[in-house]
Amino acid sequence: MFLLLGDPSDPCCSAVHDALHMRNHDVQMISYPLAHPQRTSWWLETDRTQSQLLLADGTRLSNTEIEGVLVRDTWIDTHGWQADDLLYMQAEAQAALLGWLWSLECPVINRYPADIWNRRHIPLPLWGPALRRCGLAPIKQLISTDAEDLAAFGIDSATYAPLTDPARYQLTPEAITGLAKLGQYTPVCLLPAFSQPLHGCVAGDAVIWQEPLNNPELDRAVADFARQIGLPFLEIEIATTAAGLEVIDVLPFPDIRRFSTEQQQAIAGHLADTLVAEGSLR
Amino acid sequence: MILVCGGLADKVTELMCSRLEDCGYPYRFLDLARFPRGYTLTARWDGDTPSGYLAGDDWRLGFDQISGVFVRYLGADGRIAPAELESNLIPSVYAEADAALMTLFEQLTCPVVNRVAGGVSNNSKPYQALIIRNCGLLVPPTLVTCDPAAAEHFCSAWDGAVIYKSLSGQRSIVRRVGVEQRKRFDLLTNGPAQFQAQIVGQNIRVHTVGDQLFVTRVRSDSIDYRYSHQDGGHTELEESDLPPAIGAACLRLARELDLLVAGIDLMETPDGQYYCFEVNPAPGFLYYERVAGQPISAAIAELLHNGQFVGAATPFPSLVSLRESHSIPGLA
Repeated sequence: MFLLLGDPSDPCCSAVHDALHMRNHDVQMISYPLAHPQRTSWWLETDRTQSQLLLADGTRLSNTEIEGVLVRDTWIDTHGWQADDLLYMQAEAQAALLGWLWSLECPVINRYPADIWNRRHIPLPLWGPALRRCGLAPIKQLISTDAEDLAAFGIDSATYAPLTDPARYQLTPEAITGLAKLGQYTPVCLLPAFSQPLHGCVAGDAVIWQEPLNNPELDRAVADFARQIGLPFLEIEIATTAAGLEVIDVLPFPDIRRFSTEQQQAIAGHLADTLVAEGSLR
Repeated sequence: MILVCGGLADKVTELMCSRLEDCGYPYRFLDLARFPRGYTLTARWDGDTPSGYLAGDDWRLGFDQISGVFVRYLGADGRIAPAELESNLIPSVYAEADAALMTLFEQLTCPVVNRVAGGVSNNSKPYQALIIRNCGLLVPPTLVTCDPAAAEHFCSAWDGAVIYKSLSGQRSIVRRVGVEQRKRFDLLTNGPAQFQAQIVGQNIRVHTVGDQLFVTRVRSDSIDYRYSHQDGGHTELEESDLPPAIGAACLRLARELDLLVAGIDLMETPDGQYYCFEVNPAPGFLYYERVAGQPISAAIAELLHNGQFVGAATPFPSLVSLRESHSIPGLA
């Protein structure tokens, strides 16, 4: 049995569900595995670990019967919780799930390290060393509170990129006043000018771009990067800058809605193949 | 030059500043309660390591002048919110300011106590437990469940000698499961909880500083000695030592998590077994230093002054070892 952990409306879950079905595998989509309507128990000791799941349809599964897990945005049902209790319970639920995923022997896409699991958006400089090891260049960045340093970066063509969020904002020459004010409250992160970015999605060994690039060397580098950091499913954003082709962002929780329907199906197919390829992600 | 980042109201940060003054080691203080007000930060990434500077009212430090960083991040209650900012903007402003410093400190080439990446494992106790046992330490028999029947069975199997505690980094007092808690097991269906067999013995708090160990034995009649005073209990602390294999496992664990300073909670059972409960990446060592005379802050001062033990300085350190080996006992 394959488990897809995420919202039933998530197109990635749906597409991988269909892809696994077409490959004649049993598969279930679950919003969150460690709460109602599931009954899940995970025993952890020094020399063994064991799980038992009772799914909503009455299916009983032990950890050895789980063939693979796809992890998407998976949260407890928020209905009926008071705000403070919900915050606590969400932290508890995510903590339990992270540990449980790492206890499983089967392929898990993605088996996130704790820092990515908790921070969700990792500032680009932290990916830098791994990107460079694979021959990929991250775009240069400035983080500053100083109005002069911000202005000197080339404000008229720069992009403001918050560190805790993948959102970006193209700046105008008038923005310097606002940035200087923002710098009083928090350091501001700027990127230099770049062309219209292109998203690529790593799914197992495949790299799928929004538009065909016909650049096998780049594909190899991106796939190698994903392998090195141990995330077989990730999104990468590249663009052309004054220095050449550079990485603008790395998104460890991909949103496949940015890709065409055909591309989404291809991504799902590769994810299904990767999940099925027993042992490849252990 | 050493950089100390924290809050003036934080006793551990205050102790570190005092220790550095005692040692005659120059340092600069960055008040996280106010940051970035009163400071200037500029960091450029055009390579693996950042270049730039950090400045206060009357000082300026190039990143290459920093021999070590000691940082204790503050919660919202430790900060002074800018009065002119709308309250709904304040959490994201704090998060961005912290992220800027975390990103910078993660990639400085000097020792940083502590880089944040490894410490995040503390936000999931069972995830951390997998790393702990990978490093050769015993972990208590644990059940994580949303199934009332399984919780009831676990309690019966351990003759009721079971404690419960939070799964996440949310602070909780460790309590024994009693009749009242068992009556509420039906609520477990709403989300998971963590139960552990109660290990009986003596608490031992190990602080690792680089490759040094500071071992404190805790004699207490409370289940959670940190809150012994609240329960009317009695607690005594004294300097102690560890079998070499256990000490080595503690150092391995701290290295694995890329923590130059760690607080590791052990329990020694009457038959000489050592169980590990958790690793604290921002340990409040003041208590152990004052009561048991452990020279922890002096050791940290030396580490920061000498610029040794740089640490992994790679992102996601736990990823590398845990995933590469994934040789979790019982799973191989």
